[in-house]
Order: sequence, then structure tokens, then C-alpha cells
Amino acid sequence: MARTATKKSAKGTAAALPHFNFRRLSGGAVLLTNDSGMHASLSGAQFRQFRDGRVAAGSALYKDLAAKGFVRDMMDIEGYAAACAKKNSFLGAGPGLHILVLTLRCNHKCVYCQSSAVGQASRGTDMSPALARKCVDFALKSTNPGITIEFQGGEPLLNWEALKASVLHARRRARELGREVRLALVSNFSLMTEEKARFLLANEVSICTSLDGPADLHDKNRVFAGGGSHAATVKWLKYFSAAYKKQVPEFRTFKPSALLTVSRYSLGREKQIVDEYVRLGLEDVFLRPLAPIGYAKQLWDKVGYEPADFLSFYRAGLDYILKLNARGVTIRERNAVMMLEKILNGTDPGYLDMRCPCGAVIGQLAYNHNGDIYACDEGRMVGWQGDDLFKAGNVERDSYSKVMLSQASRACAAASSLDTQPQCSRCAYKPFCGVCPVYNYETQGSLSGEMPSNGRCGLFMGLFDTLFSLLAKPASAKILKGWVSK
Amino acid sequence: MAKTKKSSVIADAGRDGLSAVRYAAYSLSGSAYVFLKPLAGGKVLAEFEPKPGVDARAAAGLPARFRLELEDEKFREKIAAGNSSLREFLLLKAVNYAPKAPEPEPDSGLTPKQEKELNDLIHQIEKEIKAETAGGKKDPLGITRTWEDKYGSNGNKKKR
Repeated sequence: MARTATKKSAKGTAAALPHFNFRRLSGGAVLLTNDSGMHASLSGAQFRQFRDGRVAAGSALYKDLAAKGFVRDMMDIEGYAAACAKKNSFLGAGPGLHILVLTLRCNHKCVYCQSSAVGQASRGTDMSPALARKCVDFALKSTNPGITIEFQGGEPLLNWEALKASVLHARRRARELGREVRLALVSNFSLMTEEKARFLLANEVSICTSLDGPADLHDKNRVFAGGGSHAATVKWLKYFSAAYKKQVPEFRTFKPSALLTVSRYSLGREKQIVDEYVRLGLEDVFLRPLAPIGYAKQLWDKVGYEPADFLSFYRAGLDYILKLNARGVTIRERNAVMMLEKILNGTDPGYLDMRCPCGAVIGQLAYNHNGDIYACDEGRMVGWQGDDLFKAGNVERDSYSKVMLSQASRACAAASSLDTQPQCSRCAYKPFCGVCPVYNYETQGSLSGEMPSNGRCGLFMGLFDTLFSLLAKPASAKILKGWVSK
Repeated sequence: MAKTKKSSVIADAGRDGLSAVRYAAYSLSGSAYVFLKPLAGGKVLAEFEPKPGVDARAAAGLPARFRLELEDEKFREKIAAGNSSLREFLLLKAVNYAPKAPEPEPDSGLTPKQEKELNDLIHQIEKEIKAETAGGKKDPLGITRTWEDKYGSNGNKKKR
């Protein structure tokens, strides 16, 4: 094991300590983290000993800190670099997520709509099948060995021809190139038919829908003129779940998933929401906050809330989920899973919103109905309001290289590099966290934003505080560790 | 609504460093508008005007939070200064990390001439890697390369 040249133990000065960040947690504990993603939780007294170089060499605490890279003279240089490389392996991989916005039309009028949808009868907002195929070809230029092409809208089933064309084209090109291509559809299911469902299953398209909780809450959030949105969601969730359970030898069938958006109406209803997910056999619930981006920004007074309100909701929801787990029910919370994947396993779970730099361009591309490419889907929503700051190019006019080197790409990467953020660079949650330039721009008027007063930062800090406090308790730690154990 | 009272602290920028004072002030900017005013003798007056919505108890705690942040920031700066080279080395190593190849067998089965040629080749490669990473290559991670640039126009042609 490679060690640094000096073999003496820590001398009692800060210079003998390696680089690390720390955070004082409520209750007096202090959390230490380092660039390799290791963490250690010390009591206040232990932290003072550590800071002053008074931790006795050979003590259990010293050995633990040394093993995690917090003792400079005992650092495993190779292991440290390997851990850093592992958690940042996405950096040169190429964009993995390619979002095709097949239409802006939608037959729902959700109270928080973040996707810049227009009415079902609108014209000029559908992607043509030919353009959809070009988007697939563009996505396949990515060096990422496992790309995902996600079909979104509006409601993508309103443009079935383009969806079908791009699915068939993607499958054909993947076979020709010998590449793994994952296809995913995000739909409200209101236009799903048996024929469409069979086509999607046969072409191994994974299915994701929106489910905001029990019928009254879901239908209040997700207004559908054609009847109950919840009923269609539940009907097709059951259909795809049954197909997943059945499995056939001809193709792989994936378990359907659902996304929750927490509006103001959801606050206080965490148990009912979780129960609805459990009732429908879903094993993951993503307690996902609403962001004041795009159309939702204009509606914030009606449906938005303060980070503290969301955190109360989240803590109560997670507490309930842990209680269900203790009773043997299988249900996990997605924020927690993704954060724990980083904290406990040192791997990147592919959550593009929490990477450093963020997923804009280097992790994902969003293709609008007209072929314009945006750094991310949230950036596209800003574009819909007439501000193309996050536009990275156009499928028909620009080369892959030009898109990757676009101003949007570089600006987002620079603004979301946490070492350039005064607060983030000092934050103990830095190895696990990420900032969103679009959020910063929409809420604070600059790509970099200002973290001490940034709502998203406050929210993420609260989520990390919650998880680390639960990890300090043996019963909850056992459940949480079980969620990400391999 | 009654205006929350301002508070202030005098910091010794000469002793603690101006950057530590500035960061400690910045860290409070979510709760207060912080005004830094230079005083004689290297001192700085930090004035806190609580932002709307900050309750009286939190407002009253601003000077204490500032002092704690200042102490922590001085410590952070000390650590950062003592580790900048090591940290840069570690992160550069991580960016260019490749898993270590298994140790060679004691007897390689090569003639002395072949061993020399192999060693020369290894040195040459090491030199090239060093030259590429030291100067800040334009696109060290190959972010602008396409699939075809990396793998050729036919890819790896594996059947799924």
C-alpha cells in the first residue's frame, strides 16, 4: 500500500492534517469528509482532539481516521486516487441521458407543470419522425457505452408516429452498432392502448409515469379534462407490473416506475402517498420537491412552498417508510437511495442533478421538438420562456463536438464545479452533492447563484443532515444500508 | 412589523486574515445583510442586518455564529494552505487514474535485451502521459469525441 513519504505520526498541527471539509451537526457531532468521499462522524471532544493533533496513534479512532484518509502521514495514495476516480467516473464517459421531447402538447393541465406543455390542439410543436430519427443518431454519437433515450413531452403518446419511428430506429441502430441502448417512456398513460403497450414491451421500452398519491390528491395536482388521471395511471401501472411479473423469453420486461411531484397540496399527506405506492406494488417512492423553474415559477404562490416545509414533509415521509421497512414492507425512498449510494458505496448513481459538475451536456442532452438541443430538460423549459441561455445547438445544424463545446456546456460545467462555489468548496456534503445552474439562474439571477440563501442548497443540506442523523442510529442505519447493499 | 435590530462584531483582520473574515461574513448572508467596514489598526467592523423572516432569536445569535464561523474558517484556511500541493497531486492522479496492472512474475522469460526494450517503452509511455497531463491538454477526457472517433464507424459490432 503506497503511503506518503513521511512516516511520523501527526504532530499536533493543522499542517499534519490532510485536506478535509467538516460540518457541525446538531447535537454537537462534527462530520468530516474528504475528496475521496470518505466520511467520519466525531463527537465535539473528538473533533477538538483531531483538530489539535491529539488523537493517540494506535487508538481505535486514529485507526478509523487513518483508514478513511484523514491522517495525512498514513494516507493510502493509490486507494484515495482510485476512490476519487470511481466516484467521478462519469466525467469523461459522454452524455448518458438523451431526452427527446416528442411534442409539447399535453392533455393534462397539471397545477405545477414544469415541462412547458401546450394544449392538446396546438400546432407546430410535434417532432417529425424524420427529426426524431436524427435525434437518435445524434444521441448515438455519445461515447457513453450505455445511453438511455427517454421519450418525454408534453405527453409523448400524442405523437405516436414519432415515438414509434424513434424506437424502431434506435433498436435497429443499436443492433448494427452492437451497443446497449436503453429506451424509456415517460407518460401519463391517458392515451395508452393495448396495441401501444404491446409495441413498447416488445421493443424493451421501460415505462415511467407520474403518480402523486391517492386519487383525490393526484387528480387535484394532475388535472385531466378527459376524466380521472389517477384511474388511467393505476390501470396501466397494474398492466405493466403484471407484464413484468410474467416475463416472456422473447424480450426483457422492466418493472414500471412512477415519479411523484410534491406540490403544496401534498404537504402533510406523506403517509397516504407512501401507502398508495405500496398498494400498487411500487418498491421506490421519490419524494421529489417542486422547483420554481419554467411554468411552475409563475405558479409558485399557488403551489410552491419553503424548503423547510418540504423538509418537514420529507422527514415525516422517510420516518414512515423506515417504520414500514421495519415491519417487512419493501419500499425505498429514491433521494435517500441516491445519496446513500454516494455516501456508503462511493459510486455515482447517475442522478444528474447532484453531480459535480452537474449533468448539463456532459451527462445529458435534451432535444426539443424542433431539433434544438439544450443542456438539460430544465434548461429547455427556460428556453420555452424565450431565454435560450441553455441552448447548446441544433441536431440538424451543429456537430456533436460543437454541442459539447458550446457556451451553455462550458458555462454550466464551470458554474456547477463545487470548488468554484465559496460555500460548497467548504461544505462537508461536497463529495456527495451538486448545484443546478438552471435553478440558480431562475431563482437568483446567476448561474453560480449564492448558496447561503439558495433554497435548493438549504433543501439538500436538510436532506443530508437527515440521512447522517439516521445513519448514526443503529436501527435506521441497518435499513438504510440495506437499501444500497450489493 | 417592528424592524429587527442590527448587531455587529469587530474582527481583527490583521490577525485572522481578511479572507477568513470575508468568508465568515458570506456564510451568514442567508440570514442577514452583512456590511464590512474597515477600521484603524487592521480591524474590521462586521454589521449584521437580519433579512426578512429571520426571527429575533436567530437575529440575536448572528454575532456568535460569525465568531464560530471565523474560527472554523481560520482552521480551514490553515488546512488548505498546508495541503494544496498534495491535494492537487491526488486529484490529478485521480483524473488520470488507471487501475494498477498485476505485478509481473519474478521471471519474465525475457532476454536482457528484450527487458531493456520493454523498460524503454514503459519510460516512453510514462513520459508521454506526464507531458499530456502536466500542460493541461485541450480535451484530456475526450469529451468532444464521438462514438465513431473513439471506436470506429462500425463500433464493436457485438450482438446483444
